[in-house]
Amino acid sequence: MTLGSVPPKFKVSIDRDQCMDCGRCIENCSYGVYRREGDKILIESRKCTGCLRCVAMCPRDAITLTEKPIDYRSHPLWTREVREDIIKQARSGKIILSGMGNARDLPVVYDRLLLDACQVTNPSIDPLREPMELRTYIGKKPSKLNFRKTESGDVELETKLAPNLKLNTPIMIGHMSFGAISLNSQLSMAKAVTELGTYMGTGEGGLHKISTLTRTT
Amino acid sequence: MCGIIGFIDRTKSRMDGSSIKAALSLMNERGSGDGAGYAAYGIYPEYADYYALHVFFDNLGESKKKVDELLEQWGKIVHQEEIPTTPQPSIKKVHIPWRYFFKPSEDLMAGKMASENDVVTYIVMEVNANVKGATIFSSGKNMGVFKASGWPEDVANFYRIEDYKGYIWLGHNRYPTNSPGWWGGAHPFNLLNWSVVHNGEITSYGTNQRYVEGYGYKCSLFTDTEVVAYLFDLLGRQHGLSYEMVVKALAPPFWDDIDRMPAKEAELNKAVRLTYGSALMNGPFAIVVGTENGIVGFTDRIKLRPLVVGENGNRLYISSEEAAIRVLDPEVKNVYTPRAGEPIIGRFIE
Repeated sequence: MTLGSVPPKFKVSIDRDQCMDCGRCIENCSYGVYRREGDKILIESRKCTGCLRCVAMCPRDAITLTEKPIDYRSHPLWTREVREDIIKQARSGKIILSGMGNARDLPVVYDRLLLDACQVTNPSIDPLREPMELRTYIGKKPSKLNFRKTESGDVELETKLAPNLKLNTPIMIGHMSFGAISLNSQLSMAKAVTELGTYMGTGEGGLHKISTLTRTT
Repeated sequence: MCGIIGFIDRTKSRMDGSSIKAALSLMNERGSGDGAGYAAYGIYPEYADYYALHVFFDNLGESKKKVDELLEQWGKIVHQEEIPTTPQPSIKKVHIPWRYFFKPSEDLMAGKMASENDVVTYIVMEVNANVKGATIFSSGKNMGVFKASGWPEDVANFYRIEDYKGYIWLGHNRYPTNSPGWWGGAHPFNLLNWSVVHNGEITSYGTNQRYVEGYGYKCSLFTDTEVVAYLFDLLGRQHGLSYEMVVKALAPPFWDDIDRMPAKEAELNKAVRLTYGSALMNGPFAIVVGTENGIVGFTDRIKLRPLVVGENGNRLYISSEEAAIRVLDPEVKNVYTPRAGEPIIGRFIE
């Protein structure tokens, strides 16, 4: 029996009427949840990670695995997640890493983006009916324009525009400096944005010396 | 859907509303009976120096008291009355249409409220956003909007439209598609001397609304067309752009076309698009705007809604359908369809 201050996440049980005592669960669990003592298979739920291999391997479908709900003494700041994170980090001396997205119930921004481009038709399937223009200019713009009439009666622009960056698509590559990524990555991004008619940012770390060459190409 | 019509007599010779009613009713298949309206310029010559404020009141109690107080705080009411109506079996009188003739006091014009127009604009926004049970739907000089939920001929008969004589007329037959059909949502939409009738929809409404609200306009009438009236007031009055330039800002040439223009012209068009990008209107539309100097008709950049122009001497007609123009004037000459985004402007002869 291992003891720890994090309560077990799962509860594993075996339906003893169904169990044929074959021991496949003991062989297949790499976390050591199951062990044999005499003629009985004992369970140590605390070791379970919920991988479900034992459930898949049991020939009698005798294994049940449930999340074990535990109430902590409630506190607005020291929530269950915070306390368990601290315990886990203290135990390993490392920060907690997990792959495949965030384990918390935070909005997945890119899945929730709604482009309200048009109500009448679907632009992607009917581009001839609803014009879509993607060209974007970034830079300072005046709040209003002044015009003057020339002697010949033509209308001329009086306001002088500040220089603007022209983007063929309203998407640019965010700031990643040399140091954060390799020189080759910077070069390939520079080539890509040149091809697409947009821009990349170099962040505060700046460009590698050689990269200044690509800006002129 | 929706049917629109615009008329101007360039010599300011006035015409009564009966033929506009007939022309608009001809396009009844373009409407759904949920809204119709008229704007007429030149109808109040005896009060030409005063702002004619047309108001929908839910009742003449608390909400009218608040409007009275606001007007008296900012100026003087020289005359007020209920707008004369004749009951129509098909129109339920859900609002009491009222009119004030109002002059802002010069003593209060300072800072942001530098002119009569600024004060009246403020009053319109204040009432429509904050006074429950009151909507100012017309606020120009020597002009007025008459609108309600119903068919064009019923709305015309309700307001006795043939009793008014104007040198500019706008008419609108509504088929609401994605906003509620209520009296305030019927066209024309008006602010000061700008009145707008519109067929189609402004799919860029959200962007346009944010843009004008940054200048103190408040969109409170639940219909996209409202923002067009405010765009015209902002660009045409406050920024002093010509009508041609306002249309260029609202329905500009495509970038591909600008790239092919001569350098100077391309620079001007690019400046308009960069500066007034938030005023650009997307979606399908055909629009006629009434102004103090004439009328302006234009469509979206690829003309997804119809617009026909006809001329006869000093009279210019703009409509969704040629048939409607021919009802107004069987002798009409020079009937043509303007190009997409091309402004059609009828001005008074000085």
